[in-house]
Amino acid sequence: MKIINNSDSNGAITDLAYLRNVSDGNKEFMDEMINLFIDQSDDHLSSVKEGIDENSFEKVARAVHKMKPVLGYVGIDPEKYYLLEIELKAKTEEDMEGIQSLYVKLIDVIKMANDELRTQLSDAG
Amino acid sequence: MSENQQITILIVDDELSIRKLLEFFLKKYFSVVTASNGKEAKNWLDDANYPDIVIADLNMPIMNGLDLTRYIRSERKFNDVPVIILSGSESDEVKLECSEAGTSDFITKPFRPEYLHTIIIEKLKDSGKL
Repeated sequence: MKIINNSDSNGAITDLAYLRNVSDGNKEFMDEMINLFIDQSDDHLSSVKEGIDENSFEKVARAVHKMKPVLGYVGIDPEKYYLLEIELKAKTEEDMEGIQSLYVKLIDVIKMANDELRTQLSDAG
Repeated sequence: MSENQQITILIVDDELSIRKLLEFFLKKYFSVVTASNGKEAKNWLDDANYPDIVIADLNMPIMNGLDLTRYIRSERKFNDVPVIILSGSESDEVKLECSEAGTSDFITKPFRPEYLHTIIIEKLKDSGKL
């Protein structure tokens, strides 16, 4: 697979500048990391959901905390896209309903991010 | 750039993607060994291996970065090995806890590659390994 677009368009959820910097623009490695993000995104979301289902603020906080750097490497802003808000609520142990609402929004963000990232990949060569 | 390939860095992080990022970036400069939690790292250390520097995530299952640091500091043969903790947290409390456990530095995630490299070189020089 090859990355076919090196410019992160305005308004996009993801931004590959960080990954490009760490990898010195190595396309093979960037593809590997993008695929890894997409493959693991359901597991990360499931960890948050598990905490919500168990009404465990601690589990939610831990899961969201783990997600932050992972989202970070594909340039998803944790503050803009609900992660920090969920983490704050979980750490202060308040408003599980609010966390649930933000989690639903987070699912959409991850879905859109994955769609964006897939467009960065190409089987052509 | 491979001038320091005789230097071995032990990377410890339970998150596969972060481990891969660290490994890919650092293997340009150093020899790299990875472990997915503190216990796995401890087992490697106990198996007659010696790292020149350790970079460990703070929050990991089984054995976290703090307990790994405490173990390293408790063993005379590893006592001078710098330990850099990586964490998504920027809390002063967490930083203090790390410092008290004997960590050499604290870097927040996502790590800035150039900054991480600079800190590693600085710690290696401080400990006489460069």
